[in-house]
Amino acid sequence: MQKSDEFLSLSKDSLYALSRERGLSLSAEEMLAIQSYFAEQGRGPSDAELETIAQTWSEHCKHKTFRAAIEHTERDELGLERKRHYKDLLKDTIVKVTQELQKPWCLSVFKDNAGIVSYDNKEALAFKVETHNHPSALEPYGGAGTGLGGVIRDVLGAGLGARPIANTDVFCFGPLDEAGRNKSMGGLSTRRIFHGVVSGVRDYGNRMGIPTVNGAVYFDDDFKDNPLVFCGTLGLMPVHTIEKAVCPGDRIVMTGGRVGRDGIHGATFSSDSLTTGIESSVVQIGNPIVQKKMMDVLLAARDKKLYRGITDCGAGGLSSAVGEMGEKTGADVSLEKVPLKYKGLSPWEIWLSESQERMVLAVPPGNLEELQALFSSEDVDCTDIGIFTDNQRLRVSYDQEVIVDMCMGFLHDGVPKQHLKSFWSCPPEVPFISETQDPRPKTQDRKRKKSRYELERALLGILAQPTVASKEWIIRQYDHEVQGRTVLKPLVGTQSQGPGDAAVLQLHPSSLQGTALACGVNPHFSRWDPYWMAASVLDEAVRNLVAVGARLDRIAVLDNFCGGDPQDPRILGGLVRCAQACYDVASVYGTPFISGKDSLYNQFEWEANGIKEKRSIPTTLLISAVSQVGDVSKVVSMDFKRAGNWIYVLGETRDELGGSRYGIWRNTAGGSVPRLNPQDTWGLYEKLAEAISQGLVSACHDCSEGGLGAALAEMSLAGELGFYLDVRKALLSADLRNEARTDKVLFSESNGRFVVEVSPRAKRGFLSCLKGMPVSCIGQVREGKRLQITGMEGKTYAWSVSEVEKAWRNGIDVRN
Amino acid sequence: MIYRVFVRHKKGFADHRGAALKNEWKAAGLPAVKHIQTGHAYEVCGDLSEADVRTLSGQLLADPVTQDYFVCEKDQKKSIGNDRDHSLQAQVWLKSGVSDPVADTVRLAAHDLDLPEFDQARSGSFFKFFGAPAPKEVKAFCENYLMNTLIQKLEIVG
Repeated sequence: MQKSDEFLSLSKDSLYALSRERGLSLSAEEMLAIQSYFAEQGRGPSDAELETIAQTWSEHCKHKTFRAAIEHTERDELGLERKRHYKDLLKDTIVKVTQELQKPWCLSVFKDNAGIVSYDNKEALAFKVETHNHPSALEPYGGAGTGLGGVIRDVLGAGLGARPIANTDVFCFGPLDEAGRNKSMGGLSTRRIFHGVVSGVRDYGNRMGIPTVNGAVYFDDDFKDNPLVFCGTLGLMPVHTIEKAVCPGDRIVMTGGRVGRDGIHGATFSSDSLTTGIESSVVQIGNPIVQKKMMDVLLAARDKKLYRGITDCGAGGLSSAVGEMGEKTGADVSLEKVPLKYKGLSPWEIWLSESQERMVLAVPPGNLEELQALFSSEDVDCTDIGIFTDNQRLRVSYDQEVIVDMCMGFLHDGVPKQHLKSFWSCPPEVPFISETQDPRPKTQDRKRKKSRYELERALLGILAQPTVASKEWIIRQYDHEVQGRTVLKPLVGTQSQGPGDAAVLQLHPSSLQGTALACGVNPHFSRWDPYWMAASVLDEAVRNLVAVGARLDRIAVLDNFCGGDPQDPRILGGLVRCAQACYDVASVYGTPFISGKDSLYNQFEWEANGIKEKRSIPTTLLISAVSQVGDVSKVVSMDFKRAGNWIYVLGETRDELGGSRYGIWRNTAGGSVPRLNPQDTWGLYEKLAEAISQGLVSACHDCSEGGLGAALAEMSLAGELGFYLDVRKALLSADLRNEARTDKVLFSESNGRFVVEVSPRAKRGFLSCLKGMPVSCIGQVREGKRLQITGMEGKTYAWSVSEVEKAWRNGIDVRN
Repeated sequence: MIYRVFVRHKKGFADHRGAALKNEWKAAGLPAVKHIQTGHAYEVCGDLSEADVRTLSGQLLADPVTQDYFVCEKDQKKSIGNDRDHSLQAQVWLKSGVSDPVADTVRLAAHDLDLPEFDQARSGSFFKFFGAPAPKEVKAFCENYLMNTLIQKLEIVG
């Protein structure tokens, strides 16, 4: 073993300098803890030991910020300060609400590679969403592809393995305008990142034969250096395979791809800021065909009960996978047995490599021969690389030379708990601009279009914003039908062009039971208040499920937090508010969190004229939601179905334009961000779900980005039908009604609202079902392709379906 | 022996990527080029004769209906096609150590084609710029639009 006894005599500063120099991403306190442990051992750590600890203790693997004790201070509008102490942010919010809800159908939460919920008596669903932000910023195709590949393996490694049946993808990019052609500070242009990420997800998902059924794409200047790439996978597994075990004496078996230098330091690199001078070795390139072969044979081995423990080889490679599996037992690994892509790798590189498409199994010795024969028959590598022991030590050797020998207890529980301070100050309320104010630069284009009402141009402008506009160019690249389960697809309507709210899958042809997947994301609201951003996206994810007719009593959600440097108290303050909102809303909605992940340090650092600069993303939360559908034949799509049907708006519209798409179009940062009263909205959702289950609703679409105006336009273009409506009939808050501004009514993004189409025959039943709820009939679907709206002041505004569709379809400039 | 194989569209088959790149070149504000030709490039290594490499190219790397190919030894650094056509060829290759699934597949297929002496492969792309552009313009364009310098390297052959 190569020992570095000098390590034991280093000062705190020198230890931290060593951590920076080696790219370990460990703090001075953590280095001191390592020094103290090895002082007790009477020797310094080997390179491999230091690297193993760095991977295991990385933010990526240990979620140190969310596990930290946090002293949180908030200052309200009046300058009054409130303090709150979190012993463990995750346990005090996300995990707490799940524990309090005690849903018996949550079978495995926060302990495995994916959250597992019951589907029926025989089967369960495993769901996981991961981020792959840093790798995608550097090499978009490889980063996004391996992000999806990694989350597929998470589901394969949940319990004894679930069969992946659907993928989801959510991206946040910088703008694709002309500036997007230029290289960002991070290196690649936004367009390169956009095309690469979409291609990477497409090639990995399609080649593995897994449909990509749900997602979202968000464009904002904040993401030009640090794009966000969220990939999710839903898997189906027999209920009896959700438990796994590792017993002393089990063989450690590595399957799938071979090991190269790919992704060395991936976990620690993902736990730090992006900067210039990154090495190519951190980049991973996936091979979906290898993973497809491995998946098929792995599931066959599961059904033959040939192994009893499994995990994926992801961040940290073998060091994390074997370290996690052997946490309670101990493990002894012989690295010389690991199959390599090429010669020349040093032992620590083999141990830490994040080469893709690998899983690690715990195999009872008596099954090893049969397992290897099975894998060999499908031409998939399957190598016995060691044994799980009973001494609670991690021991790794290469040709008899021991390179790691340390206590599992220290490796997993030795990381010092962080004590952090966070701060949040409520920004001053700025009113939304008046109708006549116009901070936008004057352009020829705008002068030319003077003949139209500003409001008519606003709707077209909002529909053309890339975040709202059609994502058909992306969606069509994904196979969303393979496996033949997709009932409600990402694009719906007469020509399959409208944006569906949620995807619905029928898992077995013999049963009408199904499952629905949806998501919510809106980082722009974070600029106002991360609390209301989180409440809004959780509500949006739930709303999307409600809109298609999913069961409200079986909604489970996943959280994916992304943010900048949590050592900055203001950034941490935003994360704390997000987590608190998750607790507050999920408690009322009864939606347990079953899994999650955080990705921090999404900031880019550079040096200009000798001054260090940094730019970080806004605090971002993606909520992914899954639920059951009692009868897939009763699900509802969002496109208008028939002329003569009534149009209802459910929920109250309030003066909430802060962070709205209309605010972006008007180039203003004023207004109040949408808030949420979950007690009120939940009652409405229950009644709407009941109406949908009774077949009383012809179409339903949630109101989110672009508000009522965008929702109505999308329903119209998807159904190729026009409408007439009078916004004065909508249920409005008192201040909004007094102000009587049509633009605010049409484009407010108040939460908890739907646009619903009801046939004249179903009207009575529908109103009876929604009795006592905030429901207003505002108009009617009409033959002909004209959208006509009477405003608050009595003026009539009109658009043709074709011009609305043109704006919406051409919003994303997909040129290379 | 190390050979390089360049695969391109036959005459009469549209090179849409090349056409799109020509627009991109124009949008970048660079002096006009006549056109840009694109194709795939492979580096194959092993105890192989040129005839072996031609077998591999004709049966595996190129579609005989729509594509043709050009084989040369690596050290020759020849440009595909006519040497007097006032063009510059940019070759973009993955850096060593970066995973190359395409090359892995080529290696497996070569063994299936009964070429057991086939050792290694590397995949890449080539872009041929017609109209006598300056090498530094081609280099800048490639680095901005056609490659990721973190994982790929560029060779310009005149």
